[in-house]
Amino acid sequence: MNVITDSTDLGRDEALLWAILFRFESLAVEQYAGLVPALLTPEKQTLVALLRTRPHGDEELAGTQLEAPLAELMRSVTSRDEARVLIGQGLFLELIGEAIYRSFSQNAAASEPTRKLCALGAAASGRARTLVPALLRTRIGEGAVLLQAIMTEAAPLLRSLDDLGDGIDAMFLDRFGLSFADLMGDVAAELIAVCLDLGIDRRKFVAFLTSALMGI
Amino acid sequence: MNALLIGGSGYLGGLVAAGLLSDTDSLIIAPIRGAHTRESVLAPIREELRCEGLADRIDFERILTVPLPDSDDWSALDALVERYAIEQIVHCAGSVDYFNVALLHEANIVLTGRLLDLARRHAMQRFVFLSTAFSSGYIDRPVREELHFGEGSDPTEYTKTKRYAESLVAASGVPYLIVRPSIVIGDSRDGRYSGKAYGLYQFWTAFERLLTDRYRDVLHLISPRVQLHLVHQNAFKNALVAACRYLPLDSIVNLTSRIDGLPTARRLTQQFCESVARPQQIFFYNKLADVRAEITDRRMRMLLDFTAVNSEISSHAWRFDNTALRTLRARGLQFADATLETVLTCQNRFVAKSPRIQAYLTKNADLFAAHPGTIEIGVA
Repeated sequence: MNVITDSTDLGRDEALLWAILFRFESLAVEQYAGLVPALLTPEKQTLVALLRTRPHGDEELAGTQLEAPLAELMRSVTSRDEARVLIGQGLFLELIGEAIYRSFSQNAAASEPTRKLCALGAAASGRARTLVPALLRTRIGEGAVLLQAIMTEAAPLLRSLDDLGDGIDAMFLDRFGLSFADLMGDVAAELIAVCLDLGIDRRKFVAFLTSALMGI
Repeated sequence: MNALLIGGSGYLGGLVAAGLLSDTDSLIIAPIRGAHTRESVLAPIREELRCEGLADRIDFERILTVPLPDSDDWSALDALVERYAIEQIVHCAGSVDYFNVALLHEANIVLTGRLLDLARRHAMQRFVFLSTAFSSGYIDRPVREELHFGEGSDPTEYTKTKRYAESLVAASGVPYLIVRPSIVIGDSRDGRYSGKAYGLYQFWTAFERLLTDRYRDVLHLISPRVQLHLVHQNAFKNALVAACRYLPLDSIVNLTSRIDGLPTARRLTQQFCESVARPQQIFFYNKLADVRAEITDRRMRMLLDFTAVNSEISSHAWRFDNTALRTLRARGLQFADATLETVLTCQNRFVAKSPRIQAYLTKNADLFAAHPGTIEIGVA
């Protein structure tokens, strides 16, 4: 399926969205290939191949409120360490990506190419979501051990994610109704559910999310 | 007495630096991490002193910023101690990450141990340690100004590590002063605050971020009818300086406001709702477990979740012995106790500086309730 052929006139807001997703997904593929090949699924590879048929969006991002925090976010998950990639990219960014994809795949304000792309993205991230818990369990552990690893590895990501909030609201709230708080609400609910299944204390995990997302 | 100030780039460390600059003639050596610069560290200190009308009289060359050495190479600090004739360490650094055991251990225990070693090596005259009023954990009697022994029930891992660090300080052989502030909030006079979203600010920030997207005529809030132990930043700063000056060596001081004037968490929440959120109705709960399962508003749920641990801590009826503070008051300490009115000053400042809340107030003014109705869920 080629969803990109009629996407040349996406408009600035959607081109910006694609630029962000391109960065998320390119880094994912690169890091998964080296460290967590189980997450380099056919769905993910198809998605990235589609995203790569468009320009990378440097122009759309340049000078926006999102440019600096997005670069910082990418830096925070770029690693040669398996645990950091698995937690930062495999758990957190895949859930964030899935929430964004789901929101746009059903968003009437988005163009048809964007909705189709996001449906593919949601499927790819959804596939990762089903694989990640078992990988976390076998590679890192469960319960308190996993919580400690998450607190260590994901804190930089969450701090930089927090800095993206105002930019996301400024770029996407009016036209698409996507707010950072709603997005993080979806992500937090999923994260809590995944972590509870992995034996993590809910109270402690929520306290961690709170401090990280409140800029503490 | 020249001081090595650890944690000077932080909120409380900056207040301490301002206090030492304004009230002593000490030279202050402040090691800072690579992410900070001299100017980034000095800026809030200058601002604090400017607000006090003192900046013009302060020689900021009295504070020297130096790179914080790697944890395995403290010889640079030894050299600084010798070079600047440092006679005391003021240790304000630490982690408040409630459950990050590894980080808490490193920041609150290991670092404190290293600094105590440094103080011992140089036979320093005093080690000032910034702890917390809640280092006892949950106990059913007033928190005395003495070391806490035994493993009580702790609200968080944070309190446990602070308690342990206090015991390290006391056992080190270095003369010490342990300062235990409760929840620090803005200045009692104008509400200025440069700390992160701790304590009461966490609730205000959670409201700002989560509940200003639209007007909600019903709010669900956890808010026990128990005094919230707040201490204003100006009271904290003045008391710490006074404690350094007047308390004997090996003292512990609880820095908490007079309980008879302190508002309850419930009253503070009501104050916020009556002047900012303005719902028609509030469901008040005493703990998260009482919250109705059928609340489907995800943002409301997130606020309840995000404030749950602090709500739980504040539901304990904390009582504090304030003997040392009474001594300091008798010596002339200006200690502004937190009251409903002074907290309102801080709240008003927070609200005034929040574009989101300002937009919420403007956009929803027609919907606001004059006086929200309240419904109590669960037994206090």
